[in-house]
Amino acid sequence: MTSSFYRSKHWTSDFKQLMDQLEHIDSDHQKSSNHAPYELIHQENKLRLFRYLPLDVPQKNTPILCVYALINRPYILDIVPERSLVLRLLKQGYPVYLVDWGYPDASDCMTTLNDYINGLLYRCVQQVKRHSDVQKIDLLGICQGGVFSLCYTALHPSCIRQLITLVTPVDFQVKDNTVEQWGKNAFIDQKPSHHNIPGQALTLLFKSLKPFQLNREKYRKLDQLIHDKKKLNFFLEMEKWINDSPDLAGKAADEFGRYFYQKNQLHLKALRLGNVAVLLENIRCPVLNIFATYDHIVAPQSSAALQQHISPKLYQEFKLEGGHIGAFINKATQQALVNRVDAWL
Amino acid sequence: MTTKTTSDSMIEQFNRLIDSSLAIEYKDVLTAFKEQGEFYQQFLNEAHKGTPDLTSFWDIPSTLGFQTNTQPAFDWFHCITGSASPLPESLAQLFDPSNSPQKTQESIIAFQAALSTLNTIHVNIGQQAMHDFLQLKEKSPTPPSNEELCQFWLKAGEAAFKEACQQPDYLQAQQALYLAFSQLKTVQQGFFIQLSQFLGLPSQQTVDELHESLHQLRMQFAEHQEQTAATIHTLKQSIDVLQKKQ
Repeated sequence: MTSSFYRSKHWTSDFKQLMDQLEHIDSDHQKSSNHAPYELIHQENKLRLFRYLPLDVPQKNTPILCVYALINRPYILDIVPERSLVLRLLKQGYPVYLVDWGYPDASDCMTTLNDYINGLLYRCVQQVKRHSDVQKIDLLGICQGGVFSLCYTALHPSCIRQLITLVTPVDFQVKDNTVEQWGKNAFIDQKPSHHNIPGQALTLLFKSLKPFQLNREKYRKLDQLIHDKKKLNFFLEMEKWINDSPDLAGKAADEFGRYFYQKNQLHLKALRLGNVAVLLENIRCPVLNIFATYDHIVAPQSSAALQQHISPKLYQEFKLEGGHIGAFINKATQQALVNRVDAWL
Repeated sequence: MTTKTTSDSMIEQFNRLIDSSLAIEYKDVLTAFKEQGEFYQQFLNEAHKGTPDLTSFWDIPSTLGFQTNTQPAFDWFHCITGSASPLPESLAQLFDPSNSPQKTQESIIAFQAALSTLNTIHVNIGQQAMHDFLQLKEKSPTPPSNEELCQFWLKAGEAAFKEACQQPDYLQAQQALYLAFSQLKTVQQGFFIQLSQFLGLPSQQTVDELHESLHQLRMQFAEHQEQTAATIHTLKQSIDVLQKKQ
């Protein structure tokens, strides 16, 4: 198999270097050195609740509970040390806790949104309160985790001191957003389903949003990776993360699609969970809404719609120049984010 | 006696790594770099040669990793259903339109029709992208470098796709695909009901009821645990207060 491709001497030499580097990579060492140390404080079925070990800096009183989406894995918040949002928060002295929803299997297909928000998340909040011996905690919800955090805070306002939403959709029917258009289509069938949605299909969906960029272009500039160990390590960690997509519990995924993408119930004040209305107006704590100006997954105007629901006295928003993930893992935007959070909390 | 070329030794090393115990994610990365390196080299060769039809370089299914010529719909099917291994031949025959009941045939035909409509749109995207690419190339004040050609390729492709993917015809085709897929899943469920009856296995309804019961048990147990933990915590706090008073 000799095509003209192999005649490109630079590429051949770069690719060989990549192979040499990967051949000698110690994956166990990579894994252990890449993440901030943490301890397990609670587990329930597949869910794990972690507390990151504090650094030797003066500690703040109120812990932050990070709530990530069900799609993809929460370790993106601590992907590599130099881009770790968790590490930056720890350096500021915040006690940081993280919900890891785990990998649902077929036996979890009946888990509902109500179970996630009023069950699993509720119990995590109680665990964090007890573990840190406080009456109220701060929530940091990211993307779909932000939606869960909003619902939770609206339903249980007494537990939350301050709420931060990061790249979180609120209005699911804004114009010109591909995910929202496609999301509506995906639940066009009227029959509710409880079959899990394969993670592989979700990865494909997200890679389809910018097909040429995400499937070809990012593998083009090999020479920029092989000469920079940190860059290569980050690239490899990101590749692992992008393709590490858990299946979605069927019933909850179906409900999320219908209630949010199709009917826009949260924004239209029509959402009910466990037979209780979820009204964002019930949020009585300060809210910092952070979104990304170039987000192709959650449109900035979708996030900004939160302003319509929260009292102006309680609401602040902060725009980051970046994309959906870049907003919180890009070094510059991450620093801006942490500075803003630190000034606000 | 033959001399090993650099490319031969590279291929040898690549194959050795793919067959080795290297972590799967690294193998995937290597494969992706190799495939895309090949893609760009072919693209640049054709672009420099002035090949009149370049549309295949913006082919969406192959960009997403589907081998359209050999596996038209099955990869989609496996990917979406999450089924990793192909069906045994005897069972797969039941999905063959010529062997299946009318409903199955209709569902498969609807699925294929929706795929075909999407494919037509994808061809149009390729043509639009090529048109835009050639314009960008022409507008370039100097003969574009390889880097610029790749940038033009990306810009033209993403713009054409973005334009098309929110148009009513694309959304309708996508909707039709989802509906057809949903119908296929219903047919698949019907097939498994028949199969489980035939083999004396528990029905889907029984399995669903079992999942529901297991789920309810898990939730109840977790709630009970939470209540217990909360009570213990309160008691501990009371004991602490009492001890301090003493």
